[in-house]
Amino acid sequence: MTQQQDILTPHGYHGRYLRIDVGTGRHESIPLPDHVLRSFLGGTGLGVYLMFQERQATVDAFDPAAALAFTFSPLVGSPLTTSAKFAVINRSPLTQQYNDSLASSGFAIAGKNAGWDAIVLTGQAASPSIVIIDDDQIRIENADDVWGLPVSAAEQQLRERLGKRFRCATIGPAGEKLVRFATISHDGRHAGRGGSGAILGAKNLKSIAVAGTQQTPWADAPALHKYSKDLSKRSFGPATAKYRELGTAANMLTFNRLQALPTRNFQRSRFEEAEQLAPETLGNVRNKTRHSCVACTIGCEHVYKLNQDKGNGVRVEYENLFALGSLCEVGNADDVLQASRLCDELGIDTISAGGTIAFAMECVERKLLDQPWLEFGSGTALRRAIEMIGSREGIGDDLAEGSRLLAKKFGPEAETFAPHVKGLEIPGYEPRALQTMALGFAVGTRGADHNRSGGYEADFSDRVDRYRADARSITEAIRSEDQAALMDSLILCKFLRRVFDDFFAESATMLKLVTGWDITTDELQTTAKRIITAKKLFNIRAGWQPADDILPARFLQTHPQNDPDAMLSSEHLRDLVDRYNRSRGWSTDGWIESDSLTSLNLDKLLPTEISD
Amino acid sequence: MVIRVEFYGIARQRADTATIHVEEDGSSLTLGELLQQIVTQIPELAQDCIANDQLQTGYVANINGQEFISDPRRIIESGQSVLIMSADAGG
Repeated sequence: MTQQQDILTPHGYHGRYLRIDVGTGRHESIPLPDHVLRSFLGGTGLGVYLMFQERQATVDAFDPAAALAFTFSPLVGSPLTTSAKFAVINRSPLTQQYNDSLASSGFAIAGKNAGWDAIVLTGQAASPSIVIIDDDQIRIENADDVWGLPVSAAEQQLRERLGKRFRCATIGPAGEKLVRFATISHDGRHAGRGGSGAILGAKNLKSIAVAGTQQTPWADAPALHKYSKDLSKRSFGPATAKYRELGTAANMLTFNRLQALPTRNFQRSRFEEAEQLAPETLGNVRNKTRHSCVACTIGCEHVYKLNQDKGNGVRVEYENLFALGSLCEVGNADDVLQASRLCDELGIDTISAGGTIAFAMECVERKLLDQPWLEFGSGTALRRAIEMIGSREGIGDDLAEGSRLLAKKFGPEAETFAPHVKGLEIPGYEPRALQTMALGFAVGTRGADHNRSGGYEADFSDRVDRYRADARSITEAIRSEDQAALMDSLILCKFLRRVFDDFFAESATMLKLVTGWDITTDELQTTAKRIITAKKLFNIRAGWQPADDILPARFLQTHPQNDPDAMLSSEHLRDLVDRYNRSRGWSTDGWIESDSLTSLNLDKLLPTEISD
Repeated sequence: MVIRVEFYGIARQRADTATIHVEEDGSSLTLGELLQQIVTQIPELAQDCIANDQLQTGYVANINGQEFISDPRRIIESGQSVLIMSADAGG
């Protein structure tokens, strides 16, 4: 780092990103000036900036020119709990729009210590390869020995080959086969949504390995340690007890009771066999261990043993249980856990896998698809379908395209009940019974998304009527999106969010201690809006239309069979979306006007031809 | 009057039961009074779930699986079910 760069780069950053063309092996260090870092922070914020820099809005995800960005943040490597996280950003092969996904643990710290705030991969290797980044030394090696291996076997082999100093982000066979919802995995965690693993596969890359020795200094180390200690102490409290003691799977029985548990491809919102999949039951009949990410004090990972299995067990999350359980009407816990493990090993997003398979099961039921074995309730069919997706064998080749493209193949009737928004399969929150969440799904830049909008939080409170969304829901949806945009850019785990009394104020404190910026809550509110607007702008450039901010017809014309109160009309949702757009400062249809760009400084921060 | 109380998530862990029934004279009671009765039956909930006749941060109450409530003065009618659950629904 030059002396000039050192002066200009805030603490907590390296002030540069690494761009590698994996086809030619050429790599370059590109500066990231202070004003860009302060405007986009890191994580998904920095990621959307890089997508503009790389002019990705019209590049197909599988084109060699497609860019895949790994971003870190100023907080990575600090003593702040849950800060060991990284983001993966790309134009999604599933939605053809902006996509980001997060994962955790040692890769984040090792990647940042390599001396980069972000790593951008472009080009296409001629044969299966791995990219190795060891501080400023970059090399591309042959990956024939790990190509085709499931995730955990590939990770193990790469550890033996490269040594423990390296941390790897790796794809499974599904990524190699360009499954549009393939994940990138690291140490049992997954950058899951939107198909980033398929982009790595399209580049002929099995893995990216990072190691380094370049820790960034902190602006006020003693005060940061003191603050971090207090935050860790608070993180042991009741606000995170659910995650510590039961994990996210605790949602299972609660959602079922509230008729919010998507079942049988969203035909129903209660599952008769939910009790069998609940952690309260699983914990009584199976061995369970608890794990946590590096630098995390919450420890949300609950790993259950399969019956008669000598393996390492299966990490159980609510979204896996819902997508592979109730959505496909599979109530046998062993079937669901095995299916979940299969997804992890093949490198497949469980939500999109379950959503697409459940959709196909309904197509079979309606005689739109002639695969009689693929029926609701069959654990055997579920596992077979996942295996076929991973290999793109037979019907698996169609399923690997996701529910939106599959529905197009089957015609207009199928499109009414394909469970996606903008191509991304809907997560485990019944939108007709959780209507703030329904709004969040409809306007989500990533598609149907419970991580970039936590509208369900308001629905699980007396702040809104979850069956009749109104102006309060719009306010709550925006508040939730803004908070998520900041959390995902800092990056901190969302399971920490209830620990903060005033998240934006504490974020300003954390950033000041790490970077030295004298930053205010108001500035961070603007930053969050800038990041959300930039994502929306990317989508507009990628072909977004107002009609894309909608839920499938099933959700706007019918109620779940068991809950007649859960109705959401298309007129009502359209009205909510229009009012949301106006509250965001956009046109009623959702177009971004020049005033918005100017007020957020996006007209100056983004490449001219893109922001015009 | 009888009110059915259902526990979910951490509340169930702390209560060590899925359901209890609260029986009182009269035809209704407030949420605050109900929470007081719950703690009387299950003292373990007094630690981090219920304090001063209110649910602690991290917990919410719901009537009949429909309406979320938090006001301790809210009237609960006989025959209704009150659900006590984790406020955080993140998955």
